[in-house]
Amino acid sequence: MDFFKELFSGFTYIATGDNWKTIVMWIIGGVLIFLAIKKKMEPTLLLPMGLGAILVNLPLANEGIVSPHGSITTLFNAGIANELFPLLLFIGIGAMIDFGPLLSNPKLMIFGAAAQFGIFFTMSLAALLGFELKDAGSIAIIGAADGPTAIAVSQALGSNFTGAIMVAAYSYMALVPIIQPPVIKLCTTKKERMIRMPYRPANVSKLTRILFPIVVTIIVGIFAPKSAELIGFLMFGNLIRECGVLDNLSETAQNALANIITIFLGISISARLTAAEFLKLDTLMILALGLFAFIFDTFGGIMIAKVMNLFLKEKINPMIGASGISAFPMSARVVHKIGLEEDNQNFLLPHTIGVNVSGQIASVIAGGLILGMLS
Amino acid sequence: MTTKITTTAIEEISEATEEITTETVEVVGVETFPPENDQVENMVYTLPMMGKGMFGIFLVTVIIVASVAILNKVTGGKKNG
Repeated sequence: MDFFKELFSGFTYIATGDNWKTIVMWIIGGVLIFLAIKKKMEPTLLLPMGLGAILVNLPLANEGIVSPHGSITTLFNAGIANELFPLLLFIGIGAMIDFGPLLSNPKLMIFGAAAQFGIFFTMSLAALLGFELKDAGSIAIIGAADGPTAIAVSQALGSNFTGAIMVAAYSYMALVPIIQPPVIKLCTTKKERMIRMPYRPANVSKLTRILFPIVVTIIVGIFAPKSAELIGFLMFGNLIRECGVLDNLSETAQNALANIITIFLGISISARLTAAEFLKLDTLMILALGLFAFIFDTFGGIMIAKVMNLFLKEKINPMIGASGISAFPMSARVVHKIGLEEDNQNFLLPHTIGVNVSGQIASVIAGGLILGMLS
Repeated sequence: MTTKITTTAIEEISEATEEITTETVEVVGVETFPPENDQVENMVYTLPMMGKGMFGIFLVTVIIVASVAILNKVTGGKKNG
């Protein structure tokens, strides 16, 4: 009898109390897997998160896989709770980024800075909706459009909603081609979208490429000390790439390291995708607020360009401001594509790529500033 | 003998600590910043943070832009066209 009791304990568990919610989480996990495979939406993160959501919601998982000594809890404590995985992933991301287009026209960084407006606006909105400040700041950082920064900030602030924040962050990053175009068209006129911007890149010396990550680390470390870790690891990866003497390490960082950490990060974040933590009304509000953050990021980047155009003789195409969010390179390509739709001779990509990579730096600074103000 | 004295000492210390703790709560009070139950006040509390945050990002950005411009000049990068 004990054997049969054990054999059917899973069914008994699901039929008890509120445990039917685990089935809802299985469906959500299945949706994430579907989006990853069929729609190819950020599959590197959504697929592990999807299967992880199913795993951690199996019967009696709180006595096994997500128990204090369970495998996913152990992974979570090893790399998410102490923010190690996002930092290691940033080495890989830094090694992947070519800052050349930005270095040849550094003024593009202004758009990356402006495109973080949605983060701070969303923080106020979240506070208005009743979230505690630490949760408001963590939700707002979804607007950074940067998974590692979102994880690092929400963990450092001790947010109660890390799981929902991660699902929102990575889902919306993948939805940039759907979210941004309507906002861009609403905020700009056809005439503005057709502004051509000649590309006159400056030659960027190798020494500049090598010194840039070092200089940025020092500057950000001085003025936004809480960003030092994130920016330091990002720039470390970039320095490995640019120094020219560590090609093997650069390749490892871009490929093996990034892939390994992504696997661990995706599966371990699912420790926060239990039914008890995820299935709350707050989750829906977080998803809505994350969307607002992306929308107002786009708005902020476009608006700064429009303001600058009031004073410039050679006008800027305001759409390039929209690529200041950190969703690299998707946002750059989205804006370039809209430009081509309006004028098939208007090649905005060199400018949008420069703005897009500057958004990566600006989003890290924004994360550090939020940590500085709230922790 | 030693145990009796130690236990008595611990009890006395605990009582003293409890008195101190009670006094501290009364002096400091229970008000927290920002106010916990007023959502509008919470939002208003974050508005200066919005200003400071955007100012901070722009300030750091301008410094980086200036640094890169100096680097380009010093290391011999030239504009094309």
